[in-house]
Amino acid sequence: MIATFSQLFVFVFLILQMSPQISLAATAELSVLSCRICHAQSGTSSEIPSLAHKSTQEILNRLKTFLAIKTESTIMHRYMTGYSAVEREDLADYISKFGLVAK
Amino acid sequence: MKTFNRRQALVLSATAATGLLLASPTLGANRPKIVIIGGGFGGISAATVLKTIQPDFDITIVTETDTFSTCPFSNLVVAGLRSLKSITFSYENLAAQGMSIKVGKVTTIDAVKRVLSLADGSNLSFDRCIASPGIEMRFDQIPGYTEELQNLMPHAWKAGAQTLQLRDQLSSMQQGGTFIIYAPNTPYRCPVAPYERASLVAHYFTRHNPTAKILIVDEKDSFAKQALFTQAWELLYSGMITHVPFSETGGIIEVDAKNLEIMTPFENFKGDVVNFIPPQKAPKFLLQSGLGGNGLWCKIDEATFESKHAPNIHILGDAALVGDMPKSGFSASIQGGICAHAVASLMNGEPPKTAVLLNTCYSLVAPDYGISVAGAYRINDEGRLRSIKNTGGASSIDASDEVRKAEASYAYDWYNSLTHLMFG
Ligand SMILES: Cc1cc2nc3c(=O)[nH]c(=O)nc-3n(C[C@H](O)[C@H](O)[C@H](O)COP(=O)(O)OP(=O)(O)OC[C@H]3O[C@@H](n4cnc5c(N)ncnc54)[C@H](O)[C@@H]3O)c2cc1C
Repeated sequence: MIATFSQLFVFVFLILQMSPQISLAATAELSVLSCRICHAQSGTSSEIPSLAHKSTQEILNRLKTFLAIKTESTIMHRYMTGYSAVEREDLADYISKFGLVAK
Repeated sequence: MKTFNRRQALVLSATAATGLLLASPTLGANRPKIVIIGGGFGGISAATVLKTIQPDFDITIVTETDTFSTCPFSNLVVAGLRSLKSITFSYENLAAQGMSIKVGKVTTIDAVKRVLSLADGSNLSFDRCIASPGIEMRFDQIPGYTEELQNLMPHAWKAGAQTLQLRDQLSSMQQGGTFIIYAPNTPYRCPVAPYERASLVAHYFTRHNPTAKILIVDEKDSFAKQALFTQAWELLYSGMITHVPFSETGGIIEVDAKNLEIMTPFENFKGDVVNFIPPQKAPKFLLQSGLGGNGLWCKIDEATFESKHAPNIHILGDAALVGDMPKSGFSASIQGGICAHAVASLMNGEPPKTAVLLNTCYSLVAPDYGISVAGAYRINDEGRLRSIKNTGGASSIDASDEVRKAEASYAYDWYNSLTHLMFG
């Protein structure tokens, strides 16, 4: 009996937890958190390429190159297929506007 | 009739309270109070992101120790290539940014009253709590291996005193001696780290104890990046490292810590130095507060990191089950940042947003020879953080020496970048 009650409560809790609705499309302001982990310090003593002061188009072109050429980079080509074309554009746009700061 | 244990009672009443909480938001005029448990990768990353996006929130970080030594790069310390001090960070910059740092050990979380208790007898109340306390060792799993005897075969799986102890044992090991690493079955903290450790110790032995042997007694048959490790071991440390898979031993049945011996059905392994990495679980205080359900790790909503067992408690990093993501510092940091956004959204009554989450685990096989495995994850329509198809993967097996060198230097840059983001 008690087990049934507790199951019911957990069920209600899970239902409540599902709302509000979460959108499944990745948003640039959150996705950029991953870029930051390696690129935050780049351009100083780091050999990881800097993303600072680049236009949306420059960044987007680079991302598209990673998508097309599989061997030229160490890491980035392994990641690029993970984003939709729109997500890549949003990300490039976000980084060119705001850099890698959390916002 | 079945009676409640404390764990079920806590969860049940927390669950019953959920409806009430949603019906009457408790923000009031006060600043939202967020307590973060853990001063490591997940906790500090959550704290710094939350402070940036919600400077008005009242943020307290509870941590057991007043400095943090990173497990990443602790294998360089074991191999005598770096000091412990160089991987140890203070919380001063976080305090300077206006976050409160409370040094103390959390003993219970009460999700109903939204308060946590500390070993020093004090309590901290919160609107939401974010917990990223890492792992605890399971000392009750393998006959002969106990908490009291752990220092005879240090795990060095939390960076600190045991890291130095293992380093010192290795540097005073007799010439031609045997170093054994026992690697547990998954899931455990940083799946590739035992093999990185074997590699960097081999680098040390090649210079200081060239006839020494390294045996990895593994509870698994295979491991991530195995082909890359094996290729590099052959090239750099030919004949020094032997991997003994589960299929050759049948698995561990007992240890004799005093004699540095590991017993399996097929063979016993005796070392001169033994690095025993035991099976692991989420810390006791989470499990005893009912946050692990009947399991050893904490189940969460993988979009918001909110516990499946109690509202207003978010759990991430090594202690949580987070879809396909490995238990790594990179993963914990990303999860911390995403969780900070989710907590801000929920406190502000907005729908949480989602992202593509990345993880790269670099391994240094030698100081200038790096390999990596990468993954990308997103929420699927069942709410799980799954690996994105045809994305990620390991370094190429045919990569040139330059690429191996570049990956090593990226590993150092990754470390500097992330620790700078966390600790300033
Ligand atoms: C040898 C080794 C090498 C590794 N190398 C890498 C690597 O190269 N890259 C990588 O990404 N990952 C690596 N990892 C994995 C990485 O260390 C962990 O995945 C990461 O630390 C997990 O972050 P976390 O926030 O869950 O826990 P942690 O970073 O361990 O932080 C836990 C924090 O919680 C605090 N805490 C715990 N219990 C309590 C309590 N009761 N009360 C108050 N505070 C508490 C602790 O003091 C600590 O501050 C490595 C691990 C090992 C062992």
